[in-house]
Amino acid sequence: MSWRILYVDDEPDLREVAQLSLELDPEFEVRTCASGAEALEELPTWKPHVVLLDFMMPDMDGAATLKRIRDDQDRTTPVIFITARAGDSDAAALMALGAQGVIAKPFDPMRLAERVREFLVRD
Amino acid sequence: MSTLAQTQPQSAGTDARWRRTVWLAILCAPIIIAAIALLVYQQTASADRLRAAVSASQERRALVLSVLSAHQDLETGQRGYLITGREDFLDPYHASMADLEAILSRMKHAFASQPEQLRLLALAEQASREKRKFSEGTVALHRAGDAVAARELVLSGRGKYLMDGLRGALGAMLEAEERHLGRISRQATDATTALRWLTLGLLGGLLFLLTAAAIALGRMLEQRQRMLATLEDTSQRRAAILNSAMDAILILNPSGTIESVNPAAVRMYGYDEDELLSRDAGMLFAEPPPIGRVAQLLRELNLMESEPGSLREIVGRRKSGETFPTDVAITRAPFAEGLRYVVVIRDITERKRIETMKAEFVSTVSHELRTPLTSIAGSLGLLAGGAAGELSDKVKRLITIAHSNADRLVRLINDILDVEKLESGKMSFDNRPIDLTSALQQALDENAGFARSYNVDLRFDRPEVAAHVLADSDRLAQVIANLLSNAIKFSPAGGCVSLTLAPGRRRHRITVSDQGPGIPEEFHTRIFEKFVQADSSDARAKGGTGLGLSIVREIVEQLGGSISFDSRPSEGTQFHVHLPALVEEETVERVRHSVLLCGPSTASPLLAALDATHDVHTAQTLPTAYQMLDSGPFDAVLVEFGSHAGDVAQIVRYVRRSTCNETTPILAFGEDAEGQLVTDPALVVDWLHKPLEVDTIGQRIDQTIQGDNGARPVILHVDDDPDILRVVAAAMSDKAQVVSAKSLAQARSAIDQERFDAVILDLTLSDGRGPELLAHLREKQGSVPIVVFSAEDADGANAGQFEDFLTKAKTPLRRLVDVVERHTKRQGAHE
Repeated sequence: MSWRILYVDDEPDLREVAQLSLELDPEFEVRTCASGAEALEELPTWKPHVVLLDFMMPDMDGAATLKRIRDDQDRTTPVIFITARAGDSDAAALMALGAQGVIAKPFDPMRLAERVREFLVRD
Repeated sequence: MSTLAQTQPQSAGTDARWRRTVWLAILCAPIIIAAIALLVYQQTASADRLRAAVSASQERRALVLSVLSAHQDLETGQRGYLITGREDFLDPYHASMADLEAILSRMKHAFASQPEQLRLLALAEQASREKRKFSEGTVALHRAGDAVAARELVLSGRGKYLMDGLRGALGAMLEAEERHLGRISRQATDATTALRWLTLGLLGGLLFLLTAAAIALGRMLEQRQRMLATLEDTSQRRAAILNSAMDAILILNPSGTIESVNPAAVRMYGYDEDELLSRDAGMLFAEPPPIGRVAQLLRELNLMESEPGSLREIVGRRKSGETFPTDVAITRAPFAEGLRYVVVIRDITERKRIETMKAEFVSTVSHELRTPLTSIAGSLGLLAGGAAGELSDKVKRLITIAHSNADRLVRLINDILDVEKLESGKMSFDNRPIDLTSALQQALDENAGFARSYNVDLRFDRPEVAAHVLADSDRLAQVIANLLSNAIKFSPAGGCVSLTLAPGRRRHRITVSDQGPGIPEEFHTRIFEKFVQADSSDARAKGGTGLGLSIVREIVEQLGGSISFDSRPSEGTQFHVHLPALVEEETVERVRHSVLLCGPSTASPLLAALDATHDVHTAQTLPTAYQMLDSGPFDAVLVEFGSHAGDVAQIVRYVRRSTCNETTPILAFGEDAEGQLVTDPALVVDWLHKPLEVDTIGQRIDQTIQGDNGARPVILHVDDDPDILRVVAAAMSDKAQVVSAKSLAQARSAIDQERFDAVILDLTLSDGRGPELLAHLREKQGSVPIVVFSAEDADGANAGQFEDFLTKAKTPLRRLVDVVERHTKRQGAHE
């Protein structure tokens, strides 16, 4: 069984690092998007098992993207925010937006896949 | 300032000298003038004397001449008679004969003081007598008819001889008189000259003195002028400073009224000067307090003389209604006209804005740094983790260095963000009851890997009893993790880091001990400061940021705790974190107590709140209340002081007399409570103050029902001022139950009925002096602590009888509460 992971971030370098980190798990199939808009296009066709969403992005930020995912397409796909602002106080606020989890930047590349898997197992 | 200080003493010195001169002139001038007057008088007197002497002399000369002329008359008469033989020619002869003796005797008298003249006079007299005798002889001969003999007698020349002798004596007298007169007038002239010179000299002296005085006065005036100018300059400088100050500066009188303002105050608040002067300073507050409150605040500040008051932040309000943050510093200024307060107000809007900007900047920079760091640390992590395949040892070593430093940078940024949040108060604390034992175990587990990497043994001494605190679990974990990682990093390989939890009644202590080198003495005072590391090169090797302990202390303090440490070189270090213990909530099953609520306004939020936890019965009228009280026992009776003041007392009495409720605790609440309370204070168990805290009232009732007086001491307050009674009861209401007595009589009845943990006593009461209670109090209540709270100052005589002596005007209420609480506790400890 392989898991489809969609990683959304406007930073190309980070997309690459994240992809490499996630692919350390042989069961993960990873695709990346550079914006919320791209993600919204990718979602219905590729149907990822989990979406990792950068919170701070130009144009449409993480919160707006999540809202579009939930509102427009009524998806139940788990969404995890990746954020540089993850103070513990913010985490609760982000979860309140409808995300299933929050991973703080900078993440440990060797453990990223592990942490994402927690969400998959829990589902 | 400095110019004034330098010139003043000097000018004061010369000023005194000038002043002395003027005084000297004022004192000497009248003396000199008197002397001159005396001299002038003497001069006049001597002139008078001279004139008198001259006229006396002239008189004497006239007398001498009159002798001569009398003799000439006599001679003439004699000759006429001799020639004519007519008796009538003898008339002048007879007249002269008659006058001469009188003239001669007058002369004797006139020349009495001049012996020389008297001698000449005697000669003259003799000559005159002989001449007259001769003449008589001649006339007698002629009368006898012997004209020839008479003529021969005349021809004999004896008459002429006698006459010459007489003329000679008289001439000598005239000369002597002339000499005498000359002598007198010379003497008078000499005296006058001396007097004139003396007078001139004195006049000169006077002139000199007056000139000196005039000069001195002029100098003094000049000096005054200069001083005035300096003063004016100084006051102008000060006014310029005041006027150009950016801060608003007000002078308030002790009743809080604005007496003067500077232009900055006018600008800052937008009022005209006239609108500010003579107004209560409360108008400048965002929420204007009632009139008089500012005065109270000023008194409560308890400022030391001329010591600038500590800064405090107050939200101000402009005329436009706009509010703005200010820093306010208040200084006591004892002016000549009385005590004033100088209030300096700084508009800190801009500072606040900059602080916010700075905070935002720090936060933004940190976030911006994190993004690239994530890529760097991520890539390095992957490499170091072998995600890109095996690396040569050299490359791996370099990658590890890069990776650990990237990690360190991340930690640094995280710490900076934490510091920023803590300082700006933006760090949120989600405080919940936490079981410390399990929280510490968890922290230990999380750091186990780190400890292993340093080959350090972690140990946790679990206490036997549970310890709970109210804290944010993540923050607490951060504190413990930080202390543990510090301890681990500074431990020698093979060493041991131990975590100890010592539960306490009021505070729990968490100790992290290491066997490291200890903190050098010189860093003991600064160890919690930011970026302070005992040995920065060493610390860098340990990967610290220099912010950890500062964050730890900040968090601990925000959790209401404190942190300290013990450290001896080469014996290791212990960090102690003290956190306030969470008093276990009563978890025993809640009994629904029955409560009777009596009062006019029983339909209220109070009723609604109580209804949830208590079995509430209500009685809005007296008969209903009586009926209810007779119907069965209640756990508590709650009485509201409403419009029917008398009713309350009746209810209280009825409860105490009723068969099934006589011991039921009564809680009273209401605004105008003191009137009822003092009628029989001991009957009411507790006194709730409006505004009632609806949430806690149930708890208060339950405490009362359970007789929970261990937690709430009972205090008797005796004072004849109902306002003081009310204020003190309100201030103490958290800590104690206050029974108020308005007079000695009421206090005595309360002492008879109830046991008190402390007594607050006023000295002056309507029916006597407070100390009169002492005997009764000691007899009934033993050594209950007594704190005097009176308008009078302590006097030595009876101060020893009391635990403390507080003066109303000088003691802030807070202090009274503290003092009473302290004595109450001490009392408890004795028992």
